[in-house]
Amino acid sequence: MKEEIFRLERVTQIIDGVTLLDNFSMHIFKGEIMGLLCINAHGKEALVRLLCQNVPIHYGHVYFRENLVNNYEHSSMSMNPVAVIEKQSRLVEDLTVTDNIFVMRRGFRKHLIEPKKLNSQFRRFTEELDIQIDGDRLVSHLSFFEKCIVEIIKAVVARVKLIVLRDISNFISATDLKKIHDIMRHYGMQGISFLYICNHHEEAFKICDRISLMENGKVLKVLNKNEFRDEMITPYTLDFSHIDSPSLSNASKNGILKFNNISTENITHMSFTVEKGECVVLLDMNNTILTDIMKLMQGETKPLSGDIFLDGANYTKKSSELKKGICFIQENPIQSMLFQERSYLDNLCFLVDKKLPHWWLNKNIRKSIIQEYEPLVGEDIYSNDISDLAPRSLYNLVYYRVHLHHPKVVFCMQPFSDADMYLRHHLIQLIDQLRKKNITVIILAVSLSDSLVVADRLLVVEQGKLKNEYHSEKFHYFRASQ
Amino acid sequence: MKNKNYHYLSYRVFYMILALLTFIGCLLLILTVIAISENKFFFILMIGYLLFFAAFYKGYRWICLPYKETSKVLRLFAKGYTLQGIYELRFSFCPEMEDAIKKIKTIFNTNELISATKKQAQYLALQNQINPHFLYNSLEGIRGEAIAAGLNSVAEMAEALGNFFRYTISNVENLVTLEDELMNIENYYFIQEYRFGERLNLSIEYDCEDRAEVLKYRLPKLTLQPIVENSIFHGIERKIGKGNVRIKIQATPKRLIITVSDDGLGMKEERLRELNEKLNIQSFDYVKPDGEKKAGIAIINVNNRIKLLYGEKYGINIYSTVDVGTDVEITLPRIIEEGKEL
Repeated sequence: MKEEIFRLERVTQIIDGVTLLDNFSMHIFKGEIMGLLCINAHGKEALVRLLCQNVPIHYGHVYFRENLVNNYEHSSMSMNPVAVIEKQSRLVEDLTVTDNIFVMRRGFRKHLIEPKKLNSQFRRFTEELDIQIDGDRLVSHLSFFEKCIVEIIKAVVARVKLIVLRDISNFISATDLKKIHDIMRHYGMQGISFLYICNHHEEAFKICDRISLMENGKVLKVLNKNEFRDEMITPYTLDFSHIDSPSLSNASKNGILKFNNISTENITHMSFTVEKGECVVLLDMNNTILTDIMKLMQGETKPLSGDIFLDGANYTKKSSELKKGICFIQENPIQSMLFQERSYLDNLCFLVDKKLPHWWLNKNIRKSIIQEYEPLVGEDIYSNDISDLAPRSLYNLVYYRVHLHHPKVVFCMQPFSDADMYLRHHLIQLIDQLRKKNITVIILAVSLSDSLVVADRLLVVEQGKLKNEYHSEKFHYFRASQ
Repeated sequence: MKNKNYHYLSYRVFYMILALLTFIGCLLLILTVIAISENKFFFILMIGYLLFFAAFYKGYRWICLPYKETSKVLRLFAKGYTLQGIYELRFSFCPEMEDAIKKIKTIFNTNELISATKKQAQYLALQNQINPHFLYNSLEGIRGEAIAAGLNSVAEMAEALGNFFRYTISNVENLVTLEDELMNIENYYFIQEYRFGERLNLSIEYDCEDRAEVLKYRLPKLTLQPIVENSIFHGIERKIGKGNVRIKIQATPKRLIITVSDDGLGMKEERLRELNEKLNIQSFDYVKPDGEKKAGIAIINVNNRIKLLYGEKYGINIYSTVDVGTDVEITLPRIIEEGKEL
């Protein structure tokens, strides 16, 4: 008989007049890996909070191990034994791994800490999982993957019954994700339950026992393992296949960007060429080289060996002059690339003065920019306060800023990370807009997400080396190998 | 409607307390000014402030929070979300209110409602059998079989019909085993098969280790049949091509979860919302004989019977998408012997 760990029964949560969870029901059995596929992000945050803490709800009941812990009549505000693992780690960065796991936990009462003993205890876990992490290392020195492992072990040590993994593929590479999945299965066998929250059904299908599809804080459907088929998901998703993707012109074969035998601390003898107007995905299977590539292109570091050529000119030697031809779109750009205190138009024109100094003195240029971009972004272009705009409008702003600047190459760091389905669909359209202007797009990613929908070519990098190259007509070989 | 709030005693009490607190606050403020100017009475002032804040905190915990809780339950009762909630109020406004609620409970007799829903269930189940379409289609099946000269199957069908009528009419007030209920479903499917042929497929899945034990669990009679019937007639009948109905059974130490899924036409979002609202809000309007007949009454009836028998934490949830299908999740307590809930 299956033991039930968590159950939310017809939960409705309304905050500030907004219904975050709408008649939401879900149950998770002991040792089960339950998936939560979010069509949009509405209600996701509220759900995670409700799992962790018994906060007031408008209606419904919450049970933990079949005992009522929260209901519409009375919410105790008590905490549930639930751990949440997401990009923003909950570990103390300046403490060691063992201190975080054993000392920083509820119920630790010892006055003397014995690092050797804690280390040997920690080794038992790493040996069991076949993972190499030194217990004495500071958490700040760990990679995202290692932090994720440490948080899982910490949850196991704290006897947590449910571990929520939230969008981990956004920051963990494909190879490491497989290891995490193995660890989840290992602890699932030991009776720990998991709630695996993600945005892609392909990812959820690989690991979950059941999947709940959620949209606007409401469960649309619960899929059992035998229903894990693409056609079961299709009615709930937007059609990405009919997007009118600009095709690559055959005339341009000179290579706009060339990496010639480049080596850095993490990159080993990497050579590739990207054609003008092409969209290339650089998939880093181990999440080691993306920062190096960004630093090389931003001119922050020099390669140990090799050269980079941009449109025939040596970029490594003249990076300060050639930088104008390159643009970067960071991960979560609406948080890191916009100036909240400036107007929409100021933000949009931020890169223009690189090409046209003192342009802002000329009112005619402003007028013509508004004329050109108003049909694309709408009334938002007149907005003086961008903090009120929806994420979709802010993404428009980021991408059309690059569109207006018209660089030769744009690097997009994980463009689809943390984006719900509607936003991903919109991002694909924005990337297409860049490509229609013949801008070369290079997507740097640790997980594929929807990158292949827009890509002409996929470059797979493993352990810092270029392992494989797939053209669009052969993407299915790569998908099959995953 | 000006100053309508004064009509309510709760608001009067609230304003009186507010006035009292303001008065005490002013007194303390005056005392503070005197204490600072005279440079004495500091100890008394400190005690005064401490008592003021202690009384404030206690008042919040003793009066404000319980008041909010009770008024929330009453509000949800008024909206129809809860019936049981007012019987289980932790804090009443006064002893008279508690007595009044007890009186409401006797007036709003649960047993009578249960018996009304049972009769309604029986009526609904029978109504469909008397339905000319049902009879016509069943007879068509018999005729077709007779023409084909396979007399055994005619006999089988007649037997199935007889069993079905017998099960439906007899002892609706009793709990039956899951095995009996599933047998009735198989019987019902057998009858429907004559009409739908290979277009209809029924499967029963057990997602639990001890199948024999699960089959002994008890549930109200005619819990599954109306739901399977809805799946067939509203989901699969109008669908082009084959249709599948799947019954999935899961058990936990305290609950029995039965999910009836079909891959039929599904329902529109507005209809689904309307139906789920009716499942959440306990209303018995549909029991009235002059009530307009609408699809979904049977499901509401089953849901109300479950809630009246076992409480609000059990009942039915529906998930549906147009052109994908409908899942009806029934949650029941795990009962092995009649009257014994685990």
